[in-house]
Amino acid sequence: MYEARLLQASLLKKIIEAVRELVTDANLDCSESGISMQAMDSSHVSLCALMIRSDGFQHYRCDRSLSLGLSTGSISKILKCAGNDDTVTLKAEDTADALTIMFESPKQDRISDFELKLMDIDSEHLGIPKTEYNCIIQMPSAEFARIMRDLQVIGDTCTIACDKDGVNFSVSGDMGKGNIMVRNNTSVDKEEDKVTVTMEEPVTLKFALRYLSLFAKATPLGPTVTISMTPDNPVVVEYPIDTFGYVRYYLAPKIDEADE
Amino acid sequence: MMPRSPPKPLGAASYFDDIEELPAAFVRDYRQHQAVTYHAFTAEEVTMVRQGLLSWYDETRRRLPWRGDPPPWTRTSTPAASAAPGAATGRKGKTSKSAKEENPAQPRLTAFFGSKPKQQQQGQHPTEVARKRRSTGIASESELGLKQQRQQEGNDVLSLAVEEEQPSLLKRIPMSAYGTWVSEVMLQQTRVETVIDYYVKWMTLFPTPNDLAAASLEQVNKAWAGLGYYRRAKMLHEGAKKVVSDHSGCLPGTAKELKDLPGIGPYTAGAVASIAFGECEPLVDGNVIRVLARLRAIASDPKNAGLNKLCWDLAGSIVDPGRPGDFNQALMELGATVCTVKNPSCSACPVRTSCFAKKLTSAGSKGPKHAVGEDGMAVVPTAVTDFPRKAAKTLVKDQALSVSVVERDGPAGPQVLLVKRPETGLLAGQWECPCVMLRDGSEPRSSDAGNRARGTVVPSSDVPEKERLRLVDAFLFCDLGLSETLVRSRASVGTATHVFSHLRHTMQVERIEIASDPGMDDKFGTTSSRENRWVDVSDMGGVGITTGMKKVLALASKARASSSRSTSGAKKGTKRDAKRKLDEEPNQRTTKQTKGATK
Repeated sequence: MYEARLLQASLLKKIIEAVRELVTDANLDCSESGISMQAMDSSHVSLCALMIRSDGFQHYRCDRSLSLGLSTGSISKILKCAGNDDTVTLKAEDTADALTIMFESPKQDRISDFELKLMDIDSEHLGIPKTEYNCIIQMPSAEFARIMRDLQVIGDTCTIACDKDGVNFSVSGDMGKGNIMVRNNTSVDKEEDKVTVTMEEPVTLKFALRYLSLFAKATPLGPTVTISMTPDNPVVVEYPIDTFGYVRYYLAPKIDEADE
Repeated sequence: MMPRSPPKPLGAASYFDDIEELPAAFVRDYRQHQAVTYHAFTAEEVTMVRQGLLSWYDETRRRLPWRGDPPPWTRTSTPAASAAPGAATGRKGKTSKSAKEENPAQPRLTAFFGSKPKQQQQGQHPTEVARKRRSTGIASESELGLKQQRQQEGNDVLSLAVEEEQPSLLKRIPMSAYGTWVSEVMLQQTRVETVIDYYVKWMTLFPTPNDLAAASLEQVNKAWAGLGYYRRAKMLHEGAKKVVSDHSGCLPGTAKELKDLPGIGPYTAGAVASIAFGECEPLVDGNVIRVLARLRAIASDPKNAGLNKLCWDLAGSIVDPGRPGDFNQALMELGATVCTVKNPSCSACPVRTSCFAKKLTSAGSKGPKHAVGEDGMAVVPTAVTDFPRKAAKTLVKDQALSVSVVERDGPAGPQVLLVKRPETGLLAGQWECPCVMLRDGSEPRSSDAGNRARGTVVPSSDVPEKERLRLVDAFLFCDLGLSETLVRSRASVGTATHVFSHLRHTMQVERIEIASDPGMDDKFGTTSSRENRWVDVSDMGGVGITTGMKKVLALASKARASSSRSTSGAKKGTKRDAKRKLDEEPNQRTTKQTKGATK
């Protein structure tokens, strides 16, 4: 028996919206410690890792570890039927081939339940090596989303250069070039508006903007985003989910081709 | 980026570029040289070679675990930057040059992160995970490895829940003198691509000389299984013990002291001293001999002791005192990736301007072709690969063996009997199926040469079948103490060959099924002269078996699969069908027949 109740359906909506466009099918791995997911996009260039620890749920019960194969599109459609303040409960039998999703309105006057058929997804599970990142950038998530949106107009490869003063996002394309510099900024009123760069060495890497802007779909999850980079390694873009989880995206850097 | 050639001193550059004007003089010098000093490097050449090699190495060196590089590691023998597989998201079709520059290749994420075994999910029940680890053959019993992993997890800024169950296989291994020693020993006679995984596994199992010294020879052999030349593992083990007892666990820092350790010769001593301790020591291996023989146009056979000595002197004269380790690795890497045995990539070579062989062949191509001097040698070498001269082929001993795959039904599927090889000699201390030597190949047979020339597998049938049976039975039923009455069926399942550097094993494989006797223990007790045990077929990876045995077991498992199919079919068929089947397969004999043959 598996049962997990979340007070705010909106949170689950945001999480699913954050991965839906990148990943079409994924296995939700449910265990005693919580729900996790790891999935790559169809071209295997990026990876999305999700974690919601059990303490984030109002009620959590997991008798046996389960792997629920879901279509992110389908669950998103079902979640559209929930009000933002509804309580959502996920239920599955240990050997179930369907996931029951129940919504209850705050006043308990409307209760709806949906059953979502599960799929057998043969997904590759990647081992993510421990990496010490040379640069860790924390910035407002809305700012990051805006930069990605703005730069996408110009070209498709974004160069992220990080040094002690701040971060420089640049792009060039057929019609011209763009450059957005975000400086270290810690003297702001609100904690979440801070831009902090923690670094050992400057790092410059190139990434496909298409994926970075897909990552920015997670912006509603929280006010800040953390970008960690180290040379010749995938970047990690992390959106914390309150205090009990995260959505992390890994993206392989583009590599300049060797001359002939 | 191709390595840029070093700044050329004027003299040398013009010599190379204006080769047409000088071939006669150069070739004459080469033809007439008597003294060894002809091969020596001039001071000018020494600086050029050092500069050229080091800057080439900095640009193109392979990323390897024992160089302290983080994964992913280079798994090809091409030195260039890792090629990018996968779909490029950028539109590559654009013709303008600038567009190409702005569309760098998009590698896949899988090029950075290793794939985990499919079923392994996070959040599984711990025992389940432990079971899976066991079955993957990655020994998780190395508590040290796990402890180390945990410590590292503590240090990490972003503690990733994703990796909590990740065996510590894919992270950077810090460089150490011990690590250098292990890698150098593993790399002897073995390709880099093969060594990487073994090295990572080894350093997880035995991260320090203390751990290695504390391990049993059995564990050491298991970790080495499949890498070949098993004496290396034993010597490494003994070396580690000596390091612990005489040097309190730290490798000594000079080549001279290193040479006193068991298993460390001049090459390993030079490598460890220069790479790990920065001592200005030369080293010479097969790659270095080839590179130097070409650079200096030394037309000797690589096995020649004089050439070896000369190479040590030459290597000593050019080793860079500032970065001896990098220089030595550069020299070897050049031999492995550019100055290869066949088809060297001379245009990519950073030291081609100092290369005598290159100059001679460029000159030679302008002179008369195929001119042969009075000594029978070509007047002018026609290819860089003429240096060093090809060694006379050593005769490979052809040995015939009979291997018995003895199977029984265990509690968890079929089990195979393994016996341990003696602690000395070929494949020392490795586990194998019971093996009997039919012909040790010391007396050459007249038919051998012809057969090998035709590329046919030499049949071992020149040992009469009766004689083979006598030998096999004596070993199984007398030496090992296996009970003959338990034999259910015997069938020959084919022949496997495995070639060692100096031996060729033709193994006639026989599969013997025996009934499992409930009273029979895992061991045969004291009557047996060799250590033995039963191992689940499915768990074979956990024991560590040699490549030759893998071939044997593959044959046996093929036979097992087809026999289980045919027996299920035979049940439906009539008795006559079954009888005919036996007649058609003369090799297959029932227990009764076996007894008849042995009596």
